[in-house]
Amino acid sequence: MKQSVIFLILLSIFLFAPLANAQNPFTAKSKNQHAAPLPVISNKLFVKIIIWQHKLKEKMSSLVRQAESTGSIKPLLLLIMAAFAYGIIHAVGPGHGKAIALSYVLSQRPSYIRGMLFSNCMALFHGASGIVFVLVIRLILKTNIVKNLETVTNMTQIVSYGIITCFGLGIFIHSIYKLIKKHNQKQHAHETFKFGKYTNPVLLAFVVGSIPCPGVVMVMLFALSMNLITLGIILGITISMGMALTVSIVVLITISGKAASLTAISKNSKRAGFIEYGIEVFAGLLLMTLGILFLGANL
Amino acid sequence: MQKKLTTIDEKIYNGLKAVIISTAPIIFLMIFCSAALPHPHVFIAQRIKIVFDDQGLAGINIHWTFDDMFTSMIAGDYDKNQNKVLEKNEVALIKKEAFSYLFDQNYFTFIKIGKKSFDVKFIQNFSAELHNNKLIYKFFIPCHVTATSNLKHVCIASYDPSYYSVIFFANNGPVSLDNAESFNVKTAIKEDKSTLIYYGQINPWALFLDFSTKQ
Repeated sequence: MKQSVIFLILLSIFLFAPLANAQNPFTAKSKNQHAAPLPVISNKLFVKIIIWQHKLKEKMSSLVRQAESTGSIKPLLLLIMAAFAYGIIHAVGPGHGKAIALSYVLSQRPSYIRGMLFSNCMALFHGASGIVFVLVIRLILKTNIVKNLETVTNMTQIVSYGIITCFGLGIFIHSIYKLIKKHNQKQHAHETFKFGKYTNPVLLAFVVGSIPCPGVVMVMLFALSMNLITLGIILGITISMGMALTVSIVVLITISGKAASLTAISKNSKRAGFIEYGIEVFAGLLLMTLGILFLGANL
Repeated sequence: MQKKLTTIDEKIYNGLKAVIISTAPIIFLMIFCSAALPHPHVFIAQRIKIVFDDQGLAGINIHWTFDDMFTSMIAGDYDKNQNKVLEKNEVALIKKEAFSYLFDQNYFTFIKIGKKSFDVKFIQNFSAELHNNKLIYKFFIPCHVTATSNLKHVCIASYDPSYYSVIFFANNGPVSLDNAESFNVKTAIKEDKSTLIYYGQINPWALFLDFSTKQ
C-alpha cells in the first residue's frame, strides 16, 4: 500500500510539472504568461540538451543543403542519423503526449508489447500528422502555413483533449463502480481480479498523436523549400521514430514502476486488486484533469 | 530488548525497501524527463547595439538571426514572389502576423534598470530581411536612462518565456556601442543569477551594462 501511495504521489508531481503550451509565440497571441513551477533538477544537462537540439538542427539543414547542391546521396545516412537523434531529444521535452501515455499505462495495466504499440503509434501519428499537414497546406491548398498551423493545431488539440477528458471520465466512473461492487460483494481473498481494457491502444494513440508536431512541420518545410519532398517525408518519419523511442522508454519505465509496486503487495491478492482499482480510479481522474487543463489552455 | 531492536530494524528495512521499490522508476523517469525538458522549435542568434544620446542611454537595437528551418517557414509564407528579398508589403505582413504578438512577451527582452523592471511597451523601426538564407529581424527598443557621475546599472536578458524559442548571444560581436564617446561604459555578458527561466531550470544569459558621465 505504502509503495503504491508513494508511486502515485510522485507520478502526479511528475505529470503536472511540465504542463507547457506548445504555441508559436511569433505567430499567435500568448494564452498564458510564463508560469514556471519550482526548480526540479540541476540545469547543466538541461542547457546541454538545448545546445544539442540546436546543433542537430543546424547539422540537418547543412546536410540537406549539401544533398540538394551536390545531388549526392552520401549525406543521407548522416542526415537520417541526425534526424533520429533530433527526434529522441525533441520528444523528451514537455508535450508529445507523455503525460497522457503515463495515465494510459496506469489505467490499463497494459503488457509491455501493448505499451510499446501505444507509444510507438502515438509518436508516429504525431509526426505523420505534421507531414500530412504540410503536404495538404503547402502542396494541395497552396496556402499560408503559419496561420493554418495555429488553427489546425488548436482544432486538433481541442478535439483530442476533449476525447481524452471523456475517456478519463469513463475510466473514473467505471473504476469507482467496480471498486464499490467488489467491496459490497466481499469476495474471497484469493479471487483473481479482471482489469478492463477500455480502448484500442492504436485508437487512443491516434487521438493523442493527431496534433501536428511543429518540429516535423519545420523540417518538412525546409526540405520543401528545396523541392526535396521525398527527403522531407523520410526525415519526418525518422524524427517520429526517434520520438517513438523516447516515449516508449517513458512508457516502459512506468509499466515497470507500476508492476514493481503491485508485486510488492501481491501477497494479498484481494488487497492488490483493490489497490489496482484505486490506481485505476486515480489514473482516470488524472486523465480527466489533464484533458480539462489542456483543453482550457486551448479554448 | 533484542527482539524489539529486530522489529525496529525490520520496520526500517521494510520502509526503505518500499521507498526504493516504488520510487526508483519514477525518480529515474523524473530525471530523464525533467532534466531534458528543452523543447524549443526556434533558435535565434542575437546581437545588441547599445545606443546613447546626449543625456545617456537612448535605447537598444536588437538584431535576431533565425535558424534555417524557421526561416524557410516564414519565407515560404511571406516572400510571396519567392525572390529571396522581403519587400515593404511583405515586411509589413510579417510584422503583423509573425512579430507583433511578442508584445505580450515583452518582445523577449527583459530589462532591469537598477533593481526595477522596465516593461517594453513598444518598439520602433522594425525590419525583416533574408540574408544568406537566414531570416533577420531588427528593431529598436527605446529605453531612456539619464547618465550621472554615479554608475547606472542596466541588465538586458533575452529569452522566450513561452519556451518555444531559444535566444543565444551571437559568437561574433554580440554587443556593440553607438554614440558612447561621452560616457564611461562597461559591458559584460553573463548569467543573470536573479532570474530563473524554463521551468526554473536555468539562469538566462544577459547583458550587464554599467555607464556614467565622463568626469
